[in-house]
Amino acid sequence: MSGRLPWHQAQWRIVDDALRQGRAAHALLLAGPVGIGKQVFAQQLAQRLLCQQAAADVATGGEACGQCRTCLLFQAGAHPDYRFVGIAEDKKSIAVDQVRELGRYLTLTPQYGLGKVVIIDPADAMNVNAANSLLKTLEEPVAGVTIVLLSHRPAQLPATIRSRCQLIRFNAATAEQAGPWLLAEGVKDAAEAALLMSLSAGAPLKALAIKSDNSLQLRDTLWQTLETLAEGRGDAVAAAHQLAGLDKTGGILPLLDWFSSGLLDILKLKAAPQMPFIANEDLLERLHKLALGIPVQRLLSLQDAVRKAAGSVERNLNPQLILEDVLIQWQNSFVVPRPRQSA
Amino acid sequence: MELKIDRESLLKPLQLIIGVVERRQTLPILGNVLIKAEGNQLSMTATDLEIEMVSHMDLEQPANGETTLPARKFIDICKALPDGANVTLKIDGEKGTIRSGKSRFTLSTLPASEFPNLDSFRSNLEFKIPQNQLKFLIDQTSFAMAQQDVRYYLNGLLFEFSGNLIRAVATDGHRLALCDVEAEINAPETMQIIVPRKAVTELSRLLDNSDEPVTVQLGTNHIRLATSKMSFISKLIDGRFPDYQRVVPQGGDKIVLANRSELRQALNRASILSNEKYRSVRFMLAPGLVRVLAHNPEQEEAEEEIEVDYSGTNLEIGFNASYVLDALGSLTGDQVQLELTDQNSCCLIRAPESEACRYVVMPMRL
Repeated sequence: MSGRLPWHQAQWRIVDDALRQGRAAHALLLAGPVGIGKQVFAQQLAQRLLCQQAAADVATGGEACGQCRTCLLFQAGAHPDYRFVGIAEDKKSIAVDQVRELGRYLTLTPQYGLGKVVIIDPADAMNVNAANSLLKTLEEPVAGVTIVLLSHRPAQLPATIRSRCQLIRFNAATAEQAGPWLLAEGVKDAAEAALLMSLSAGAPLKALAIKSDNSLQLRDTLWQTLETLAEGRGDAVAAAHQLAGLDKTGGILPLLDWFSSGLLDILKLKAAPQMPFIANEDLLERLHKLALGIPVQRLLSLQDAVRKAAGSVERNLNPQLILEDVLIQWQNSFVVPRPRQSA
Repeated sequence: MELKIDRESLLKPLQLIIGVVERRQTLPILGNVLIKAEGNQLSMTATDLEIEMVSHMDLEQPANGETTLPARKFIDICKALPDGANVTLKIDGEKGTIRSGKSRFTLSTLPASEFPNLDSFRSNLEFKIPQNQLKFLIDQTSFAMAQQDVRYYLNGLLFEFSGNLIRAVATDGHRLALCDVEAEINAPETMQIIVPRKAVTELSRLLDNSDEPVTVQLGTNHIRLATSKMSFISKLIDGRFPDYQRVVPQGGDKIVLANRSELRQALNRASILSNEKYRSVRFMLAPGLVRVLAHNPEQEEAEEEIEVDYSGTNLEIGFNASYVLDALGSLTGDQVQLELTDQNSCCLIRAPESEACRYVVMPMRL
């Protein structure tokens, strides 16, 4: 991906100004929702810091040239002064050994004399030991080193890490900022762009991902199932079994995300039915209908349940059981006129 | 690009640099060797991002071009070919073809532009020095380097250049080794660099005891050593070495002159019964005599007596036996001189006739 993303202007201004005035921070924490383009930003920044051309005319600022030897090396993923630290394959967190190795690497002089750049992504995946062993490096890195931490959950980072970094926050992009970019990336028309932006809560890269994978289909299946359950038909356990098998790669987290975004929309519809500022705009009618059947109190506790369910996924609970739990609660939340059973 | 070389002249330079190629690389291109032909010159480069080695050889038929080939596969093929075989290497697009007799191998290449070698080297100081002198400096001091210390600047060997003196210093915080060598370097000012442990080990292996000169170049971020056949480039440790001068004790008044091998053997024997972890031994100095005592947690004891040339007052002092043994083992000559002050001060160990190599060992509180 070439060129700066249009909704990153404010963040680039902060970084460019600092570079121009020679007071660039040695540690940055890029915080913002998933799909806002933090990785793209970090990569572009790294390439810019290591670009021989950009270093030559630092006064004018500007982007990496993409032509010089260091840029070519960077694009080939072989730049010796750049390191990426992420979650190793079949691991769940960034281990302390990775951070120690990084510390050792940073004490050596840079190959091309323009400093070194390290990206740690996602920074909140560092376990406690890893985070602690990074502190020393983060506090007083060798001159010329820039450490860029990425996180969509910055609050999960230890305060000791956060306080050592300059925070650069990425807020949701507006449809105006990202619309033209989405169209250029292959989105059909402005209406679809607006819907995708709304579904992704202002994260354009996520919007593209929603378009390209079967995410929307997943959402439709979910809401069909939920509607059936709400009407008192169908069996929550069977539904959970069917839903749990849908997404082989992503597990049930995408489902829970859609569930939670829909619940939020129903809540909004209940609170202000006349001003439907909801994410799932295309489901307005259906959500309206559902909103009529469920009390606010139950919606709130359902939301809690879904949030807890997402936590349970991370703790490796059985996905089907988790789904069963929320689906049963969903079904029970609706006041369905049932035939009264006589005692 | 097409190269025609005989197997032996290809294999030797390859074997020289293959040690740098790690078996498990972080980047695929680090598993490759850069091959560059310019007229009658062929150079091959391998790097692990910390150390870069280039070997040069002459070509009989001039060629021009550059590419990278998988290093291990390339050398394995060359090794497996029969003695005296002629090898033709042809690079065509993304494939490299090796032909020899009736054998034909096609290897995948990666573009040379993606190879992270150092293309320009600006040196702040350049001089020539006989190989054996440099090897001497390293071998006399490198054992005292720290290993994976958090004080990262100790995990390497300090080289200090001033005037016509090269000094190597290594310390792990408990002992220090220092060695001086005179050479015509004409350093305009004092310069210090710290060479990482890995490069020091590799250099000690590469340099031999001949007096063939090696060209040393110091850059801001790298050190480069070159002979006619190869060049070796290492990154440096980006840090400040502690002020070692303050550690070297001056004017110790208790001077012990001992037979080096006698002291060493006695210490070796005594240390068998020292605490396995701390290796502590007790030295009891009396005029004309040193007693070495050791005991371990099992209450086993060793005692050694060595006749020495000493006329000072009595002193009892503890040392880590391995540190003293390392120093005694590095020194040459029959006699060794120990300079002590008191129980809580460092001991300086050196040859009585020369100040070139000095070793400082911290005492232990017993």
